Order: sequence, then structure tokens, then C-alpha cells
Amino acid sequence: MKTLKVTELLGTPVLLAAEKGDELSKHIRNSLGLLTRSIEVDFSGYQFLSSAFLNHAFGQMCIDEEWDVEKFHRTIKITGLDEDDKDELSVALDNAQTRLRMLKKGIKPEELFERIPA
Amino acid sequence: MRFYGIKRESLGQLGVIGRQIQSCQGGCVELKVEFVRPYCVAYMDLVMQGENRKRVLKLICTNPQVNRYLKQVGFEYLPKRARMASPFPQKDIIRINRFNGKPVDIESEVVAWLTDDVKPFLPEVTPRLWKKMVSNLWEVVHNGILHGESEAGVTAAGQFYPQKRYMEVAFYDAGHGIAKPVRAFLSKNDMSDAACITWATQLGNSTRPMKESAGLGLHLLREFLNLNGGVIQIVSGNGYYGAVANLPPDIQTLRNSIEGTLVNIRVNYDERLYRIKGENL
Repeated sequence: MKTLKVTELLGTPVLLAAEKGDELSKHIRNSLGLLTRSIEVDFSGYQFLSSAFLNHAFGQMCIDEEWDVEKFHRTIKITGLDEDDKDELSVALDNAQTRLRMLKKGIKPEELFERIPA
Repeated sequence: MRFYGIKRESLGQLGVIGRQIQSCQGGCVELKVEFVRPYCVAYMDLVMQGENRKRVLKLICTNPQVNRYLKQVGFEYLPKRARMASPFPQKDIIRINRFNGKPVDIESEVVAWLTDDVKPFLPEVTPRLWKKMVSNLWEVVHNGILHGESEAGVTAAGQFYPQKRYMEVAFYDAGHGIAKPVRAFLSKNDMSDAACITWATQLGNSTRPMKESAGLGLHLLREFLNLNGGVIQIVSGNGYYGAVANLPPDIQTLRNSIEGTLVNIRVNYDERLYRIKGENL
């Protein structure tokens, strides 16, 4: 299985900006092909990670590819994340699933918030 | 537990100060105050930046101690003739920092500022909690830059008060504020600024494009402040949101409004070691 080492690829242990998530996502998509159906993404050596980074790196991929969480984990093996950031990843993937379901049903997100007091 | 609060009316007065600066006809504004807090410094820095793009405008205080303080925090619009009191202990000051540019370009700068300038004034936190706090505080700056759409970016300033044993750090952007995108997103034109801020502080709510998901990114920071007895205050437009420890948030409409969004955070300095729930040492 091919391994992408995130901190080497992005040249930094600070993974906060959403743009860096986009960049990682591009690398992953470029590496996945007909012959490479799964890939390891190794985070070892990182310092800081934001939810925006994870949403752009992985959440968006799930939406674009219409992957469920199982398909995501079959395709992308995440290593080197600490426990808290594994939780953040789960939240990013769950949010992507929610938004994907909304998109498929044609639901506008604002309709979910109709009961907000003015 | 004792809380030291900044009255919401004081935050509301910022709008008055801002309008007086903007309407000043001469080349120097005189500020009659006995002291200024970091939120006021951050606010005045951005307002003065905006004015100085159009003309040369200085700001002077009648109180020489305030002039000295402003000079030490790096406020660059003091006139040379400003009367100064004796210097304050420099070690208690968190100097003005302007974050401007694409988030990806300022990321390291924000981390360095938090680590070198802010962290020394926080109570002891585990490395694991610190990582999460950095990503939360990053979201505050990031939201200011991204959502504020302000060309001047975000100004941050802070101060440690050793006798009162707390520190304050404030972030201000002069952008379009929280309410505009929230109203547009929810199609609710009659929603008050205060209700918009409240909506934006709830976990998972975001006006970012549908494909993304995030609130103001303050969830873990709020939990930390709850434990610490700290405070977070947000002013945007004429909306005010203030949360003290575990008490229900104070949500109000202020008499005066400001442009953009101000976030003020107060952290008590105590001897406890803060860690993430369930974290083993």
C-alpha cells in the first residue's frame, strides 16, 4: 500500500489552514487510481490540526465521491493521528455524511434551522 | 468563585469611540480615559488603520499612563509629543499583533504568537489540551479573516494582570460582522444581531459553503473556560454574547453598534493543571 506522509508532503507540522487540507486532498486523489485502490495517509510528526483542515482534506472527498464512512476507511488508512484528532476526523466524516444525505434529498441547510428565534 | 466582568456597556461604547475617531476633523484625536483594556487597543488599532489609509490621524490620551501603555503594546498612531508615564513591566504585555493575509500564509505566525506571547500567561495545560486550544484560537482568527472579509484582517492584543491573576486577549476584525452571513444563510432578515451571534456559537452551525462544516470553533475553548471560571465575550454589530463559566450566556442588544466582530477572552491564572476530560497523566 502506498503511503503519503503528510508533514513531508505539505512541508510543515502545522495543519490548520483549510487550503492545506485541499492540497492533501489533491495528493490523495492523484495517488488513487485503477491500480491503487487504497492508500495510507500518515500524520506522524504533526503538531496542530484543525477541523477546517480535516473537512477540506477528507470531508469534501466523501461528499464528492459519495463515500460512506466504511468506504472511506477501506480506501484511506489514517495513521499517526492522536486520539483527540481521531475524534475530530470522525466528526468531519459524520458531518460530511449528514451533508451528503441532505444534498441527495435536495434539502436546503437553512430549512433545518427554521426554529431559530429572531 | 469570583468573577471580574467587563460590563457589556463598556464594549458597546467602542462604537461611540469608533465614530468619534472617524468624524474627527483635525489630525489628532484626544482620548479621555483613565485606562484601556486589550479589547479597546485591538479595536482602536483597526479603526485607526482604516482612517490612516485616507489621511494622517494620530491618537493621544490625556492620561500619560495610557500613552505609555499604548506605546509599549505597539500602538503606532501616538504623536511624538505624547506625554508618557514611567514604563510598565514589559513582561505583562501581549503586544498588538496584526494578522492579515490568506489563512495559509499566516498560520505559522498565529501559532508562534500563541505559543510565545499568549501561552506564558495561561495556567498550566497539558500538551494535549494546548494542541486543541491552538486549533480553537486559530478558528477565531480564521473566522475573523474569512468571514469578516475585512481588508485589514484581524488585530489581536492582550494583557496579563498579575494582581488580579488573569489575562485577557482580544481579537477584532472590522468586516461585515456575524449577522449578515447568518441572516443570508437562514433567510431571516428580521433576526437580531444578538440572535445571530448565539446561533453562530452553537456547535456545528456555520455559514460557510454547504460542503464545509464548522461553527465558531470555540467548543473546547468554552469547556476550558467553564472549568477555569473564565469569560468569553463577543460583540458584533449591536449584538452582545457573554459567557461566564457555566452560567447561562448573557445575550443582549447593545445601545451602540460596532463594525465587524470583537472577541474578548479572559483566562484566570491559577495553580491547577488543566487537561482534557479523561486524559491520563
